[in-house]
Amino acid sequence: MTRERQILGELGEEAAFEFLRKKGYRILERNYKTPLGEIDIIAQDREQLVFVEVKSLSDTSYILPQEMVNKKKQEQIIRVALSYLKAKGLKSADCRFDCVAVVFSLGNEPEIELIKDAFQSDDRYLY
Amino acid sequence: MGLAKVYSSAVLGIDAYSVEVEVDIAKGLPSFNTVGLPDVAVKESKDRVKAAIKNSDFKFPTKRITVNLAPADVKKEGSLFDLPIALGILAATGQIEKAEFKKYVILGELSLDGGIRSIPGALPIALAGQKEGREGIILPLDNRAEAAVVKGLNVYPVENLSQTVDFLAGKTEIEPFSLDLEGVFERGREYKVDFTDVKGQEHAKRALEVAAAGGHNVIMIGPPGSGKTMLARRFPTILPDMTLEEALETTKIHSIAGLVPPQTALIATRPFRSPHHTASDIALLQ
Repeated sequence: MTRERQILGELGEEAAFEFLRKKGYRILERNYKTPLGEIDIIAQDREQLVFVEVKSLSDTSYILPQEMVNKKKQEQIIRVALSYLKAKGLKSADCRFDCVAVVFSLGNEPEIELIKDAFQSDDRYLY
Repeated sequence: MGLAKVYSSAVLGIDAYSVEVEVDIAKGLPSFNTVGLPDVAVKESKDRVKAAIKNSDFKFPTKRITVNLAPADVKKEGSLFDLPIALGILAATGQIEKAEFKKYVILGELSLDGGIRSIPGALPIALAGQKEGREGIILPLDNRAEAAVVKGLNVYPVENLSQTVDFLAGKTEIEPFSLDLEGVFERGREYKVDFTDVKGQEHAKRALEVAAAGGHNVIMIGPPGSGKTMLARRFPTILPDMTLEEALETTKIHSIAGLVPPQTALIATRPFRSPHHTASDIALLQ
């Protein structure tokens, strides 16, 4: 990963964090790291536990940030989410996977889009 | 959270058997699983169900959804479980109250906008429903005539998901579809061609008459264009009229193959098939 992309990612996560807080999400964890991977934000939205993946890109790229959350990435997030639930003993929590897409453009405020319930687990990842 | 049981049916051979569609909604990672030997069309129903529920202004739950098609040891094919699965999800999340699913056999394919599409095999399913003692059958509009042939079963044709939900919740009434079976049977017996159309061909006609009267097989040999197919096509018109049982059996096969034209209740003419001479044994049987 180039230095620019890393900075863009950090800026995006910061923007997403503020955005979600304003939306009324109670942030529980940021950059929850396990050997399986990382979840950007874990938050509480009303009674639901939300695992949020933040993707940032500049508007000069040809794809949307949300397109980068592909099947492989989703599966990774699901695995980490399961390990989080297990570690916290929250087996029967009501949860959801959200995706926040941040598009940076030169000289403007970043454009933020929240996709609620962006994807679901499939039968391979159940406890 | 909730559990709902909806009764549906599936076709095996030319007969249908009852299938219980159980939907369980639990807390946990949101997912949608179908168990009970579903084939690809049944597995894919989850995407149709999801879109149809959302587009009919209901809420699709972000929960762990498990759909079981019992009996679990028989393979389930086709898209007719879309409607029962959608209704099961709505009932398990409390979006339909106090629906008496036990009274009905429910089948139908969903389109993304919540509309209900016709399915093959409505007649055998209606027959099985009547045998089990169900009060009614809820099925796609285009299949209503086929199912209405069965006596002692109310046929409720539905056009979309919201209408079905309102009906089950007792908010609206649907007039059971009925038809004059005798009339349909009489009218259905008419052929478009007739044996009297044939001019000349006296030897061939004589041979066919003998075969029809005695129940024999006939082989016709002749150069192309001499009228073999023309004669064969008119042969059923000198056979005895079909009895109601025979017509039901014939319609069942057409129903499963999805060959019953819409608005047609009974196929009461003897079928004429003309397989290609290079067709394999297997192709003939299918």
